[in-house]
Amino acid sequence: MIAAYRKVLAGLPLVFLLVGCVWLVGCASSEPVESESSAPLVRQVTQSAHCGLTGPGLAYVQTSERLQQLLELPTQNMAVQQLRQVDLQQEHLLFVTLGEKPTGGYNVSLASAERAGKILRLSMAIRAPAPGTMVTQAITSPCAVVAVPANEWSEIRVSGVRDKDLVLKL
Amino acid sequence: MPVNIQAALYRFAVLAGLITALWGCGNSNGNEPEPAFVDIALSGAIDIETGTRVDADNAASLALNPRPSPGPQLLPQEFILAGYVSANSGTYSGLSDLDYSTDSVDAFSITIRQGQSVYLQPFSTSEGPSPLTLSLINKSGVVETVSTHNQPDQVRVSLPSTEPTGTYTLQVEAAGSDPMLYILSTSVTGSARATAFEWPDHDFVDSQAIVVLKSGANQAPMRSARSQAAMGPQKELAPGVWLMKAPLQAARSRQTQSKESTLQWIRTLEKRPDVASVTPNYTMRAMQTPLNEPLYNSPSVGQQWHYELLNAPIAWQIAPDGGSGVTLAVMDTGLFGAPGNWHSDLNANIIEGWDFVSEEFDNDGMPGPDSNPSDPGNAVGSSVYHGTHVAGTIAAAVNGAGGAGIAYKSSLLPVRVLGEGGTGSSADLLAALRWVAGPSGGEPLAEIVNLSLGGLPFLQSLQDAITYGADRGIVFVAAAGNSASAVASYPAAFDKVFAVSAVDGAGVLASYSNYGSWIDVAAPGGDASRDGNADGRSDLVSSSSAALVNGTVQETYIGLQGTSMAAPHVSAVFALMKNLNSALGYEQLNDMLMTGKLTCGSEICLKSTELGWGLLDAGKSALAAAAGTVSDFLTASPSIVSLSTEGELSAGVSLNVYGSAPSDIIIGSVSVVAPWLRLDSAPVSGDSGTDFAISVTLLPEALEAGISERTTIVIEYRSDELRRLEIPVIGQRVTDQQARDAGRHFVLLVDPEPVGDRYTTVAQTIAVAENGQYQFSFLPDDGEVPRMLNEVPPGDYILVAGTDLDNDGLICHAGEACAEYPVAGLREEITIRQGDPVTGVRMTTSYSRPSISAATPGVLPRPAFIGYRLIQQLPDTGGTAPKTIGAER
Repeated sequence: MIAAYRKVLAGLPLVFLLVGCVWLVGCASSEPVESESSAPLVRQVTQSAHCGLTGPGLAYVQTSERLQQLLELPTQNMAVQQLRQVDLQQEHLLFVTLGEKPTGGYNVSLASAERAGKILRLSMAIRAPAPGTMVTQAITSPCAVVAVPANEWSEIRVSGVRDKDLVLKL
Repeated sequence: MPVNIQAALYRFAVLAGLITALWGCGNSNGNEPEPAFVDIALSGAIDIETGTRVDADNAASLALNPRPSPGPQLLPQEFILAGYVSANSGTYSGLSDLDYSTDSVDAFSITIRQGQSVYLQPFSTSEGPSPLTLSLINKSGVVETVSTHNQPDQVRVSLPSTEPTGTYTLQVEAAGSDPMLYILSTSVTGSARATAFEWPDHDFVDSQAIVVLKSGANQAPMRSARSQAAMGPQKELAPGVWLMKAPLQAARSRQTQSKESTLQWIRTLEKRPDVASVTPNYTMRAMQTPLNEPLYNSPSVGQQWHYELLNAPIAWQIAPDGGSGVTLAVMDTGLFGAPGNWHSDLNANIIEGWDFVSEEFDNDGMPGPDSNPSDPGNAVGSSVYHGTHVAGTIAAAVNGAGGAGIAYKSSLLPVRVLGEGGTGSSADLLAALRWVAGPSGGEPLAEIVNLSLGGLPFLQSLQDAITYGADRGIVFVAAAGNSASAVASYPAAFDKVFAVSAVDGAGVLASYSNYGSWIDVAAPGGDASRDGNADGRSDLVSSSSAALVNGTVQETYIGLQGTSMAAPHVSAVFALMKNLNSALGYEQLNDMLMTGKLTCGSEICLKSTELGWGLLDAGKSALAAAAGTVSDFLTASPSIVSLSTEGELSAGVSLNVYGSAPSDIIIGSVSVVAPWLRLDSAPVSGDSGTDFAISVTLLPEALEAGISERTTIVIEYRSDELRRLEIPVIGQRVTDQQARDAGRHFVLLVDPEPVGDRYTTVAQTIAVAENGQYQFSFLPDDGEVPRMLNEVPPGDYILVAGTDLDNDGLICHAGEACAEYPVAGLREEITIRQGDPVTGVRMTTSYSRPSISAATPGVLPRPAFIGYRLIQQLPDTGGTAPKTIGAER
């Protein structure tokens, strides 16, 4: 009994930390990127180093079926619940993927967003391990998932992922 | 000191938080223990009708995984199956976003008797009718074929009396352009419902029990004649704990009867006033190697093909101690869990480690080095617990759960050198390398160091630390890197480090793997873009990990790819070798490698830039390590045989002599003891040679339905001495009940009051058949916006469930499975109240629909019913009524 109690105690800091991590993500995700008009424009829902999407680019999700397809990819390891909680009637999900990367140490996140009429421009921040950094040698597939207001756009342009903007015509 | 106080306060704060949280969950109404899930609004199970199967590649499953099934799907003799075929792909007209996929032919393998018929009932999708052909095929071609000719009528094929009873292929083909649903069935399906059964948790010894006497009970009478007669004490295992043997009259000859009579006897013992508890004397299953672990042959999580490719089962024969006594350091991201409470598959083999991650890269809440090498996961985004995966390949224990590592009894020293996002600094690695080399007057802390990391430039200080460690007897193994490049990557390319490149399931260099003259050896690292071993899955390396499930991080198993996954295979094989010969260091191992003693099976490989000295062969390596003590012995391929009534019924095993200079061996005997396994062909006593073949067949009628049994084929033979090879065989008579599957089910709560002629779907959840049943639950609406699909506000509802095999957004129309609570055709309302969960709801799903008869007067006709509509988008919960996305009647 005492041993079990000790085990619980020993496990606690980790549990706390993990919860802390979730909080961090949660806090980051709830902080919307503001447009000029100060109304929340888009928000980052989650990001992962293992999204299972092998090519760099955009995947646009308007239905729960499409979301399910993306969540059932092999090697996918995302915060599934946060994604399922998004009301797809209000917001659509944009998966911005870096494609397969050879090692750990890569991530992509939303830096800024701006509206130009019916065109939404997103700017992504990419982190890659600096040359000479020691990294894990498992293949990763980093992505960020951004919730955008549904049905407002004719085009979404994403900069920062490739040399040219990634363009999604809706 | 302040750190300790901080830590103590911190732990207290966490504990207080936890207690508060538990308090919050508690219920004030006293003694009654609350169910664990107090926040359930409605839960229950859906049973599946006898013989029900589902086409593995229907439109709904194809939408999730676009590859149609490659081979024929095995069906029982009596079945009812719903399926989907379409010659084309497209979008349903009028239903944007609802696509159907191409799957022009479905093939099934069935055993059919002379004169037996199979019926095909076609159903149109919303695209309208399209013809189907049904063909019965044997090896020489089509036996019989029929077409539905665009008509909605049932067609059938029968086995002519000129053809023998046997296994035939049934083929359903889309002969027109539009998608179609169909139901395929044998004539007598549905006549009998199998009774429920339970999985036994553990086997136990017949006629024995372990009895704990009440404290204070007089022990002496245990030896009295009366107690002897009633309880049969055999042996006092501990003070007050007795092994009892049932009196003779309780024993029975037949096995199932004796099990039952033992349980009956145990129940009578429980009633005795002097007895505190009685348990059956459970038998421990003999589990010797990772072959016995569920993950080794798991169809869902992924088979550990990488162990077969590495020839590990033979190594486990030669090195049965599983690397016991050898310590491996895994310098990585740390391990999932906490000291003393690591991932349960690793915990038994983990020794105390260290965290070297400096502040810059640390994210474990205690910035900088400390004594806790726990992997906290990533602060940003989700993590795959890289170090846990690597450690599992090396040293996951054989414990009947999950998988096992190659050196499953070795000791693993977790050394954390990689922090956030799997990145770290060379300075931290240097500190770790110096630490593991041990104090100058003492021993190294590990004999083998695994480095599944890379990306560093050449650094003399690291080379010096490695040279120092190697001189002290440490063997270093490192991942070659994943840049698909020949540029040397460090630490792999350092002198005195084994640089490991990665291969796929076919033993071919993985598409991402580095190569070059600096590669020493290759091992399985997987390749998600390939299916090199043609097992129908992409080639990923399966091992222990953790994932975020329902808001908490839980231990799990996942497949990854990379040279990170290849290196631990080599480290673990070296551990098996060092267990056999502790004198092996870098120089000895390198000599063996270069002289072809560790790689390439019966061949000697030349050095290549891709695989170095070749693909590591664990069997050959173990043999080399045990040189002088191992003579010729037999090995089996496959090393494990798995037979089941819904898989392969027969299997062939080839036996080969393995040894440093293989010569003929003499067979003594080949035997099979289980009544459910028949030896079809085998070498006989006195046969000699180096290659033999055995074939076996499952006799399902001799197996208890639903229970997986294990036995061995025992081969006794003489090489230098009398030897014995045991090949594990797993046999299962899958019961229809377990195998029943009507496809992925949507469970809906719909408003009982139709709006016009439509029902409104309010809440929706998804269930997948497990052991022949679907489990579902809905959560109470927590008032938070947006309301999740599976949250239900208080009210009255109709509960329905069904498949969407054609992916048209409707369930319960013809050709698809449907369940209605409590009985299809006789819906009753279910009331959901705040704080009053409704649990244990049962209903049955079926492809058939109720008929109106004298026995079922309540069933009303539904002339224009086309199904219940699935929620495609979340309902608006801004205080207004849910939108009418209802079900048409």
